[in-house]
Amino acid sequence: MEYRQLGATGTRVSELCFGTWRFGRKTGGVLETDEDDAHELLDAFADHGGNYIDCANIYGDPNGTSESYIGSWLEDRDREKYVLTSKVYFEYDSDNPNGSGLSRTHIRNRSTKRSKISAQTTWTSTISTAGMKTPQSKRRSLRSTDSSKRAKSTIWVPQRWLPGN
Amino acid sequence: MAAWQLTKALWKAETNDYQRFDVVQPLFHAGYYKDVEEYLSVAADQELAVCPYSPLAGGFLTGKYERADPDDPKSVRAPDGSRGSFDERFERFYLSERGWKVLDEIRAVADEVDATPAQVSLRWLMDQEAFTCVPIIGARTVDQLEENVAAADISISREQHDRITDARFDEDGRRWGH
Repeated sequence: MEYRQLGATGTRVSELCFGTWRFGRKTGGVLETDEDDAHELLDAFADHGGNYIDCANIYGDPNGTSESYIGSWLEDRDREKYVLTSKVYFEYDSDNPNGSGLSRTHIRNRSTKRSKISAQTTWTSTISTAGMKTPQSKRRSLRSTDSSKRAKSTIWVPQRWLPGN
Repeated sequence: MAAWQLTKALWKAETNDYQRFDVVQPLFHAGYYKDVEEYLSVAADQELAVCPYSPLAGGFLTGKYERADPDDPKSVRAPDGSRGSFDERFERFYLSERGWKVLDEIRAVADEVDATPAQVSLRWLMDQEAFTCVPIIGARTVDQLEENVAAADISISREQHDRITDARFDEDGRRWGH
């Protein structure tokens, strides 16, 4: 695969990104892609020159499973060769009032400090804010994503969800 | 997030010297283009990369589904084990008159360039001229992954690209019903 500039960032990514929402996902109690299969898929993608991997902190069951599959795959790889995306916003921890949304607290906890993928791989390259809705939340979120981005060299991605959201 | 909200976020970032958005991740594929046109025009103008999710429309643009009734676009014949008409989102967003028209054109181009509909669908996204477009592929098997990745090795002409884009419209220039 060839590589392309990711917008104005200067970061170069493969012309296809690999999405990992099936990793650790259970449908009707059946695991769609287990850790071995996930690693096989990532190996094949990387063999073709793929370096751009998309994830979210809520992918997999329980939440964080997909991130941890990518993290374990990267243990035998050079982390610097891959551009990783994760997302924050959706409910990650239902027992924690700060376990979802785009507050500074949740973004910081999920995206930079305690994200499973971050714990294993040092940093995530891009963080998507999946659901900014109101000007108020946008202002606060931009401020908190800003401090996180400056600290961790992350790139922020707004996600346009399906109509109605 | 609407186009104006994205614009406002970029404006707020610039005004306050916050870090700006650099990439957007919309639902975007050949059967769902005009719906996000305004949003994409912001991306083009502001040099944001576009990374579409569901680039194959939940499998619809792979061509594995067949239309079962010429009068009812929601009537679909699905191969065993596929989502078919069972997925509400799939039915609501992809099973439409224009979805089938776009798929027909994608199939025609696929025949012309000796590729699969999935590869042509991905190529159509990768060849967007106004902005960098990097589709997010969600292959379940290594075989699917290999097929998707081979989209990097095919090429379609501008004329073929436009035919797929234009397949959304009838002879009078009106968009097919959704």
